[in-house]
Amino acid sequence: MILEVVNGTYGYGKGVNLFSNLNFKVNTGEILTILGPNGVGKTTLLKCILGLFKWRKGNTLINNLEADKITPSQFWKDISYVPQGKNMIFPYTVLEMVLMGRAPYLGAISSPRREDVNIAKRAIEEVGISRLMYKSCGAISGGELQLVLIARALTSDPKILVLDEPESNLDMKNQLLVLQIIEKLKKEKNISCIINTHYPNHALRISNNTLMLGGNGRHLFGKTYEIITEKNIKRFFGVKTRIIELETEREKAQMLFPVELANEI
Amino acid sequence: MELTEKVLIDISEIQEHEAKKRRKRFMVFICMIVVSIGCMLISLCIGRYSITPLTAYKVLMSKIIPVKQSWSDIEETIIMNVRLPRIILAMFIGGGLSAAGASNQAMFGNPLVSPHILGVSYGAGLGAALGILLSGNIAIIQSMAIMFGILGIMMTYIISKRKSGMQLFMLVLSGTIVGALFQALISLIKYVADPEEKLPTIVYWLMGSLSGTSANDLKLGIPLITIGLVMLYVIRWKMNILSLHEDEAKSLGVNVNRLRAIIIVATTVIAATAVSLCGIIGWIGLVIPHLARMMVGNNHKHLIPASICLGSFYLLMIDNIARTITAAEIPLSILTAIVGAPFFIFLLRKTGGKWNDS
Repeated sequence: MILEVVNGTYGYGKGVNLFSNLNFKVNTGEILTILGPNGVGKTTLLKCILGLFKWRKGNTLINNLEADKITPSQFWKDISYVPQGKNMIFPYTVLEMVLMGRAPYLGAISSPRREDVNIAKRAIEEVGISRLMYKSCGAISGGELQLVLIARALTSDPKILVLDEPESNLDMKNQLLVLQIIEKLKKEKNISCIINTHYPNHALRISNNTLMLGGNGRHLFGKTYEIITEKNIKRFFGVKTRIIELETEREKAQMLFPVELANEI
Repeated sequence: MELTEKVLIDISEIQEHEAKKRRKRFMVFICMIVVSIGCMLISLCIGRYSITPLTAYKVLMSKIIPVKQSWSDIEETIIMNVRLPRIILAMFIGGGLSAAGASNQAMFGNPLVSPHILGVSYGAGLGAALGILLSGNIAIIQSMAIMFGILGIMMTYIISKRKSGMQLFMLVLSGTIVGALFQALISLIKYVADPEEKLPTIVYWLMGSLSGTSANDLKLGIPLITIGLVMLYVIRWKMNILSLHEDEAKSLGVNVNRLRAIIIVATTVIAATAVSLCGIIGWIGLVIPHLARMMVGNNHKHLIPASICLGSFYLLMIDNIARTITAAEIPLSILTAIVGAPFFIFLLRKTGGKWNDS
């Protein structure tokens, strides 16, 4: 499934455009990361892509079909959204929470059936948190909650996952856990992902393409290793960095090391 | 090898846990139903004219199968025309208000709202007060209460309506404003009402009472409350999703605005009907859902039926106290608050208001 944004333009209310004329494309099984400093509108962009906010101009295309022409239940079967894990007002159990992901398949007045429960359980297993099945979402760690939300997204058997900073606020191990699950989903299920992140190193690690956002509607889109360069990071983040190559057991990797704040932004 | 064993143990533990939880929930529901029915029978017997349980049972059964009459006509009249309608109405209104409260809490994602939040109840209260002021005929009072209840929700809705659709924050604010406005108008009516005759009736009505419930009230109340309850019952699982953040709920493929509309219509019907029949009864819609949550958890699939059971039981008990503890009837909202407030304080202390941070 191919997701494409054409001339995407958005701003709040009557305000100036947060971003204008964004053009990018995510092919089947590709990962796109969206990088940018705080407050530049990364989460807003995700919501525009998903149609939760209306583009001022331009459109999201799914397989060349305008997204707002697709019925919501079909749209949300193909595309799943993983929001940032927040405190819940009514903490449901992990299984109850994951089961909610089956909603696009259920009629207006029906509750999940046994097979839906089984699908939810499989999704929970898939992200490796079976032991938490009946725990309250209020009593698990931030990393575990993030995995719960990913499991919930998987229950609708999506072709595209959209994740909002899935590794923020997590410790090193949990960050890796989330990244590895995303890599696994890409490899085994050919699921495409759009991921907001604060970490250029994570983008270097997992993504094919990167969209870099800066203030005043500046943006860059292209292959990740072509976008994440010392020069671009300095321009968009105001940070002097060095990119180093290193070899691990796993692969030949690029790492970005922040040196100091750049004087002029 | 060790690892596989550990995993197996984990899984069997989980399955056992699941079975245990399901059994517990089942027991809770059985208990609720048994206790409610028991309470109903006991309620038939207590009151100024006491009747033995056996007689009450026989009278009830005589309506289904022929039983030789061994009781006086007075006893039959008291049971069938006075106590039974009152008990049934108490249970329907208690269950209805609790389910409405739980649904509103889910819809607003806020555990501190009640069915009175949208201005329906005070609108209905104003209608009832006006009806008493203008005529005193019970049919007029009831129909005015329902009309003004609907007027209340319509005002709330129109004030909060924006181009971008329904906004919860605006809805709560508008509901509070409309409620305050109607409360002021109720005060105005009390101020101008004849203090000898009309004023006590209005005050007494607004404090809530089930005394004088007749079979006619049931004909109006039961179908309406049942409609509201059925609407809430069939969408109860979706309420789980509705209680999440709005974008999250939408991203789960749920038609958020339609669900909210269903809940608003259903709770309006329930609250307006309740006020038209027995005045404004506070606390039930706020406190009972929390009690139910403690017993069956947050999942609305179980929470709504549990709220209905507990709510009907609670209002029945409150009404029993109201009609038996003194010679004169004690208004219901006094008792629901006297019993409800300490409980709510206890809850707040125990949880530290923790369920309130979003």
